[in-house]
Amino acid sequence: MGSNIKSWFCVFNSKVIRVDSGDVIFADSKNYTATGLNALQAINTVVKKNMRKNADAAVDQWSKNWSNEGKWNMDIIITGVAQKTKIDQINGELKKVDGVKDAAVVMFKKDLSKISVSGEGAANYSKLREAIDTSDKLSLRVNYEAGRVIHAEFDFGQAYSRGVAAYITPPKSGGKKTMADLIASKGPDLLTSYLMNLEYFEIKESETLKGSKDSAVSEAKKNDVPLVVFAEVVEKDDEWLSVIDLITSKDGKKIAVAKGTAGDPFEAMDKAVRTMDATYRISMTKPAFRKSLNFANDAATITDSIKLTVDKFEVGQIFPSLVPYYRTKGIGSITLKNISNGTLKNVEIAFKISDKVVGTAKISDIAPNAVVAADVKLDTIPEGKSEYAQLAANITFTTGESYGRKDAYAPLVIHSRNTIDWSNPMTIASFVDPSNKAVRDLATHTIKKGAPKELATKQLGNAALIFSSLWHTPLKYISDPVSTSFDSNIDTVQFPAETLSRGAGDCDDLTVLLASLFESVGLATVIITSPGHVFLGVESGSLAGGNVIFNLPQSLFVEVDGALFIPVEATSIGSSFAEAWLKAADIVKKSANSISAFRTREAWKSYPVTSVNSDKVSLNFVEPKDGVVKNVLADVRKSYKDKAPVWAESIHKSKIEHKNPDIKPETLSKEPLAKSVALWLTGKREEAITEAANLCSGGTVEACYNMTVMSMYDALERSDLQTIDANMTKNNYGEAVAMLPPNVINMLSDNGGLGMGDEAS
Amino acid sequence: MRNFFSMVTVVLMMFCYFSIQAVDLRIVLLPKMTVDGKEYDSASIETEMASILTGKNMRIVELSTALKAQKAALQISLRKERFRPNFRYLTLMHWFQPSLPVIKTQIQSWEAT
Repeated sequence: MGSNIKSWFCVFNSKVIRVDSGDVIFADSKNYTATGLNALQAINTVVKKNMRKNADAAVDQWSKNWSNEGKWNMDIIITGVAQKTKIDQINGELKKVDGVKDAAVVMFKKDLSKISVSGEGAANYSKLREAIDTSDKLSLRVNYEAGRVIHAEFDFGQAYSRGVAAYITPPKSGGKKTMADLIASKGPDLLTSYLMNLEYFEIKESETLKGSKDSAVSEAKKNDVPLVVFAEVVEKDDEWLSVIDLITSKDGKKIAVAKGTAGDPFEAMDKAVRTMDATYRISMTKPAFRKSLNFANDAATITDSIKLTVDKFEVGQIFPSLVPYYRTKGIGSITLKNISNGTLKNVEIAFKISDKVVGTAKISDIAPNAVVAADVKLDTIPEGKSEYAQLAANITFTTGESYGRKDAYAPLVIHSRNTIDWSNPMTIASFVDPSNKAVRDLATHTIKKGAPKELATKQLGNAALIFSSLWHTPLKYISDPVSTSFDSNIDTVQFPAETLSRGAGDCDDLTVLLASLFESVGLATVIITSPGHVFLGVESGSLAGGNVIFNLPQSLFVEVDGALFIPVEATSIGSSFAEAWLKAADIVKKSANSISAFRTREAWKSYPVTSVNSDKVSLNFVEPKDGVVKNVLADVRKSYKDKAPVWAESIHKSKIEHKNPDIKPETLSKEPLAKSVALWLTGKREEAITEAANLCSGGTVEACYNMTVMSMYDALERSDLQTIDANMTKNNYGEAVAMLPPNVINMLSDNGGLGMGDEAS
Repeated sequence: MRNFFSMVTVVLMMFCYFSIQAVDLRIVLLPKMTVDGKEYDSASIETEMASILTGKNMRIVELSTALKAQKAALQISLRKERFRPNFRYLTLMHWFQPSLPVIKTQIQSWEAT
């Protein structure tokens, strides 16, 4: 038997063609003998074994000669150098770079110069490129690069930086957790942030001043640090004053004093540093000053090179739970001023934390002398414990033929993800997470059984079921650890998943969890704050004035945006729903003037939910005992001092028994709104709407939204467009809607028409 | 034993105009393999060449990218009135021909967009 292995003769042709010219810059032909069971196998063997070696050598050969037989030349366009001598010096340094064949200044203008550099071979080009980026002698900063043209700026900071030792004297503490304490603990970090804006300072150290200023100066001198900064912040006449002294360590001579006054110490410090920057730059044009710091004459270039200044770069604190909010609204602003004679174009800003880009901003052209502000919008926030970070803004722009860049820095406080600032209570909405799976599963399971009819509305019934089934041991109330924050408004809040996992929380944690449970089954909530405390309200299923259907007085409810909410004290773990309701109503009554409430759904529009997941659930479902849920209204009624109007009992009874109330609407002539409600509940809908419409026209806003909701549900039930239309026109529905305050319209739209109509339907 | 005459053709198009550094060349790889005049799958050759080229810091790009760059290169040359010595009217004409022949056989025509 003969062998099946066969032999093939292969020709390998390769051709390299330049795209730009169509020139064939390399052509080669190689012959191989290949063996294998078939042609494909043989060729694959050749490709792997023989072709590789030859192809490798061929690629080396043509890539070496890829351009003009290996020769290259490039242009470096340099801005920020006003003296020809300095450009000549840079040219001289470029000539010295290993691999550079020649360099020549082909153009010099006060604000734009061009040097042409030539050489041979890719490796040498790489060396030149690296020198431009790193050489201290060249001190160039590349702002833009396209093909063989590099746009660089003379980097004054790199060329003339001087070491600085910075000291801050904190103000005397005025009490616990004051701003003074903050400066005492974080002052050096803040000072560093502001001083970083002065690129000619190389900050060697930044500390709180402990000993005398003289000893600090001597220490700097000993360590070869030529400059010392003493910063001080003091509270003065309701304002903050920051004073910064710049001193040479060699002779202790004060070379600059700068002051800044503002409403808060940070801004005061920022202003003082900016003033010092201006003083320093102007001083640099004076020979005596340059001499004192051992600067060459070309250091005067510094003032000519500036095209753009950052007038303001202010960012607040970052609360990671508000990242969705920051994406749209931003965390602060940056103000840029064009101080050059030309228009700055293509202005772009990259915001960075620890060299990682966290956001960007694009600004259209900035005309000469124009000031433009942009929001600082961040896409991502590094998570971590509370800490200070530097937020850098790398601003790039073009002006005429040159590309410019400016960096600015601002101190930023990044709080832990659980931190909240109570100066804006609405931000707690971002913690309320109804979409959390564990939350949804628990709440859905709880209301499966259905609410007892005694509670008059489905909303109250479901809220009572959730509370009664879940709000007991092992869930515990535990207060927050002692705050280490400088600001008494700063607090920590657990996400629902965290409270579920931990099985414990304080008032805000429990409020957030309970609100999440309610919202997860469609029960609208409100967050209610009183001094030092937070609790919640859950929708009653009635609009304001509809408390009568529960046969309860108005004071047991909280009215927000025209709807009635049942207040619930979330820390009442182990209590009945009636007790939690009464306790919360008591707080509302006692702190009536200092209570504020907002709808969670309204707050979400500004502060969307941030979701956090957890596997563990330390909440047990326990079937409520007979009567506990059913008797909620009776228990509340029994324990509460204030009573509902006498006729309310009949309305309530008719409501739960689905019968017409034993009440003649005419007898309610003194309470026209109640009459309208009674008419509605007796099925006389058109009369009810007309009654409400009359009141609405008479200026009773409450009647307007009662009528609106009634009409809305009437229309939906009839599904008869002509009748709806006629009814609407007859009762000036449009007028009624127009009379509703915007917050009520928002509430109706958010809650899908919560209120009397809901009950009727 | 029978000998077959097989031909393996590898065409490399070099996209060098926009390379920022000499070490950063862009390459379009157009391999074509025929055995007895019949075209075969050239994936193995492409893989092998791609590995060699990327090992030398060259970037493999799509043909469409190279053709766009080619158009841009031409525009820049025309704007600056800088023509390479070997730039000919015929070459320019070729640049506006359809790209089909580029892929099929010889590199002789160029697409404008």
